Amino acid sequence: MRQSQLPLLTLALKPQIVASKAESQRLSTNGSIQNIPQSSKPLHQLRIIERLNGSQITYDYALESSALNILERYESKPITSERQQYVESLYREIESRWGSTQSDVQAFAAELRAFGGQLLDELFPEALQRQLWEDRHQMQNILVISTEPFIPWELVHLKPAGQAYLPDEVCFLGQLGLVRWLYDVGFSPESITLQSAVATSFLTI
Amino acid sequence: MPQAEQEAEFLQQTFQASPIEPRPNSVRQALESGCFDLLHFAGHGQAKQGKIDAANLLLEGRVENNTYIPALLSATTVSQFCRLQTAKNRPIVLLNAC
Repeated sequence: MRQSQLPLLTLALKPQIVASKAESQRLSTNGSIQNIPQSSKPLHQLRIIERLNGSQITYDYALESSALNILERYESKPITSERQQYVESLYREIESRWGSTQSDVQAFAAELRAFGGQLLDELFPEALQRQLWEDRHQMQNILVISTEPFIPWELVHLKPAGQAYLPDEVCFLGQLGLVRWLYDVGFSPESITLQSAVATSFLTI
Repeated sequence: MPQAEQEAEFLQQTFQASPIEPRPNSVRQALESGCFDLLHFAGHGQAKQGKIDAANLLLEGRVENNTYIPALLSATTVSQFCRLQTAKNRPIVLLNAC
């Protein structure tokens, strides 16, 4: 359940299969909402929902930006390999590309761009590619809420829709200020409180 | 691969061909530039059954701690970087990879 862009509550529906219509009964579920957060400014949100249909996986995308007047849904092409196998192959490929470039950082950056362009081709439908590319300069601080936590969405490299090769401009999805967030943990805070300057330490990963 | 060396020698003598350093970065940059009329590769390749679009050419790897680390030029790197199919230039590419 959402209120505007804010995901407030997830209700888990547990259907029961019965032998006949006469045995059917109404089921109910409930949840509670606490501390409804206030959103002070429009957000750009990309929601990614993983759908499993038999042995095929597809990804449903919902791109929402009130500031840019965008409210669109998209669907990926099906991925026929098993999900874990697919994700493992992605990370093995990154490692292989690092090994091939012999620790040359610039060469590895180029390999990552190729990998990102490949991810875009595989996972993003052309209409979504077009929307993200055309609005890339306006779309800062994009919030990704995904039911799929393993694919390195940050490495998806944008390019003009339908173009096989990468543009000169380096444009990873992560450069659009991409922040991942999850369902069922409330909404992302707009500010954080730090301890006193003496006790504060900053870590980056 | 002695035959590959003979092929390189023949191309250099007959067409004044220039060798490219067999490393992924050098080959990718040459492909990206598109400044050639003929590219001849003689060497090895690898591909997975059922995923032929993820094929690689094997370039000059290295040995680290008694382990051979291959240097790969992937089909996706080529497709993402190369702009060979332009109106002005459509070079011939010969891949002789077993």
